[in-house]
Amino acid sequence: MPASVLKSTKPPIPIDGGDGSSPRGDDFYYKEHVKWIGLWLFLSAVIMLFAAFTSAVIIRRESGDWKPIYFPSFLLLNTMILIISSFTFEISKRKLRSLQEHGYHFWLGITVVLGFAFLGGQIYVWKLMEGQGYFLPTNPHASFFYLLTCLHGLHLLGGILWLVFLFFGTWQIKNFKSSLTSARLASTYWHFLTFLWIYLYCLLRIV
Amino acid sequence: MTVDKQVERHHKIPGFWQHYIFSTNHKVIGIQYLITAFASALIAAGMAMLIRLEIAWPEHSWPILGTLFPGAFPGGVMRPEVYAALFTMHGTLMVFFFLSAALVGGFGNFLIPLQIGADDMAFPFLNMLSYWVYLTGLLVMLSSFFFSPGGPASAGWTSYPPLSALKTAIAGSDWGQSFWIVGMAFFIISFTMGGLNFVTTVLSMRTRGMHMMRLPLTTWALFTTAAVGILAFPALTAAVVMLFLDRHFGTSFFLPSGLYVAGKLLPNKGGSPLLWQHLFWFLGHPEVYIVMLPAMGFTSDILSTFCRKPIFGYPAMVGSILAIGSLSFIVWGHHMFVSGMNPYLGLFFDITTLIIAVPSAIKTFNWMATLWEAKIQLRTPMLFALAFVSLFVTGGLSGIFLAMAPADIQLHDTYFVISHFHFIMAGASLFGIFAATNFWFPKMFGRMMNETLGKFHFWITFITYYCTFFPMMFLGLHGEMRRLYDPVQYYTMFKSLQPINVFISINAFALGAAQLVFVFNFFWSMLRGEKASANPWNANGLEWTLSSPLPYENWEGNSPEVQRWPYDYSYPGAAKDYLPQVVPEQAAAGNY
Repeated sequence: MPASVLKSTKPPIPIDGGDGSSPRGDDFYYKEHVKWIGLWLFLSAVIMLFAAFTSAVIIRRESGDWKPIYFPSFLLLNTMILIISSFTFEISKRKLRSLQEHGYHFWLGITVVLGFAFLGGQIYVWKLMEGQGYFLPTNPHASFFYLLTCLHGLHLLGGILWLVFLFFGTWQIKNFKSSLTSARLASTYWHFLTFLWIYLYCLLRIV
Repeated sequence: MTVDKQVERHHKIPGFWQHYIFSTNHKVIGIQYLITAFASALIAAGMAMLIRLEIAWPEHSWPILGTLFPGAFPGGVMRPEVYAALFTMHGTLMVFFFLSAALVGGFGNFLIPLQIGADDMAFPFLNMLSYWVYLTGLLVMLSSFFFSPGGPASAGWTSYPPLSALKTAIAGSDWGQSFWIVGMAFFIISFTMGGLNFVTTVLSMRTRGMHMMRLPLTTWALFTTAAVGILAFPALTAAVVMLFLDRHFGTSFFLPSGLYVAGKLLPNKGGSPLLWQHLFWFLGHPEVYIVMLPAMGFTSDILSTFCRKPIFGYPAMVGSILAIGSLSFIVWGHHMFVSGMNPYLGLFFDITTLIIAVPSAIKTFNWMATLWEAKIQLRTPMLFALAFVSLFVTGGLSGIFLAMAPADIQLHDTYFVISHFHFIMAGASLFGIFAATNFWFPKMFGRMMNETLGKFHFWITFITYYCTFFPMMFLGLHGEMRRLYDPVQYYTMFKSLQPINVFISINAFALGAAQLVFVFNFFWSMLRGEKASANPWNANGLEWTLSSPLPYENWEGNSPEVQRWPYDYSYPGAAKDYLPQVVPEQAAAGNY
């Protein structure tokens, strides 16, 4: 059974229903289609938000008072934690595909814990920076550091809530396909946030 | 419909609260948006009346205003801070909470599912949330009149720092500006939720046979608008977050070094006020098209219906909607020609701005060609649609002056600009809203709007609109600046222009009064208007195949099958002069 289920869950992302209409009706693929479009539109808004902040960083650093800040090496550990959490999420999805309920919950739980660990780590980094005398208004680089880590953290907190909903809500063997869809949507968001963090890390580190 | 089915349908209609207040039904949400937006327009129009009163008779004492608002009009004379607060809130409420909300939230919600043959939006709950977040934002904005010491925001609707970033700069920069930021944040969230819904719905919920190239231009325009909104609003989000931090947490994103306020040097260093302008106008200019495009869509549909002719150049219309939508992202710098930008950069924005005139002209010529040799029926919606074209051309031609940096440097921040955007953005969109309200009113409430009152409202509005805003071009060409509290006392060179200001104000009052006719007509027709048939205008869109007023569930699962585009008017060989989208080819000659 797992093999056949696996095969049928490859979601086609049809552009139209063949006769010019969009795919519609109460069938599974149609509902999935809608959710994917919604998610990617949301992600494009988030991309535009951080693109706007990027342009702000680029303009602001030309002002002359831009000084490099103390960059705790603890951040690297944090980054690793987030990257690992993306992998554990992937493992949990594999367990879901092979219908291993315990494995799925275990690895999803690990992902949530790693997510919280990352957020805790970010707060610890803030403490470290404060210890070195870098506060929000200290200099523009510090301002952007606090602002961008905070906004990324808020988006990640949303992602963690989503994972918690998944953890408690979706395991139903009869609704296997919709469980997998929810997990795929959430993992797309989660990986997006991982990539976003790597991008922000480079942005804050390099400029 | 059998009795069983009727009973079944009856059961689906929820109780009062879920039906009219916390509704997830796109039609109810659309009407909620529309009526709330009209309410905010009336408030903002009231502010405009006070602004015009002050400009025409600067610092004159009006005892009645002194009695009504003793705080704002001590001795009947408007305080300068109040004047600044009024033009700020007039702009904010009109641009965001009226035009954007009515066009996109109101008509977008109401029309998109109907025109594509869907039963509702893709995410109905998100849709409901969008309205309530919008209403919260509006209430936050309005509450700044009552709950913020120092009054509402006063730094202009563009809220340029440092004025908006320093709490002590002016009275309105204190709490009022924070209210403004929070209100805008709510609005942006609401708009993004709506935009997600619209784009997803159009992409994924079109009925059988509804190719993208069979969509009515209204839906095309609303779809593009929603996409533009999703991509443009985040820039303003970023900007207001940074402005908030500058105001409350001592950062210097926008605050430059060496600012003195009340004799004290501020600690802020190195910030860039121009950064705000870039971020603001990266939203601000697409925002112009966010309110223009839907009105263009309505106009296309209404012109075609009342000309009894297919819209001219449908593919070109779609192409120019998309071109305007994409070009709108690379023209924002034309708001900043006087900011000392590199002339080469200015040249770039010159050229892109002039290029956007090309798709705009394509649309205008297509409208003209649709009118050419048509049997025009001058019903109220048609009059407003024709006026839209007129205002669009007047505004567009004055825009070409402003697009060119050498002319703009002269005209920047003068009444020429005020005139220009009140024609193209505010006026044309407003007339689009009136056209659409008159046109789709039967679908909303099952009754027709009164034609006599409608025409009366149209003519007064049209004439006084031109008389109000056209003379402003001459004020601008003579150099009179916008936002002057007292143009006579402090700028003696404008004394000779003051009669023009008096003329403008008198017309503005007539314009404001005429809108009361519309309000009366709206509510009176809703209750007492002539009952409408399903298709009173003999139009082709899918929405006209349903009863008036619309059933609670659009198609109750029996979605229609679309056979043709929505512009088959005066079809050769057909018995009637229109072919609704659901009529198949072989039936065309027989029944229609």
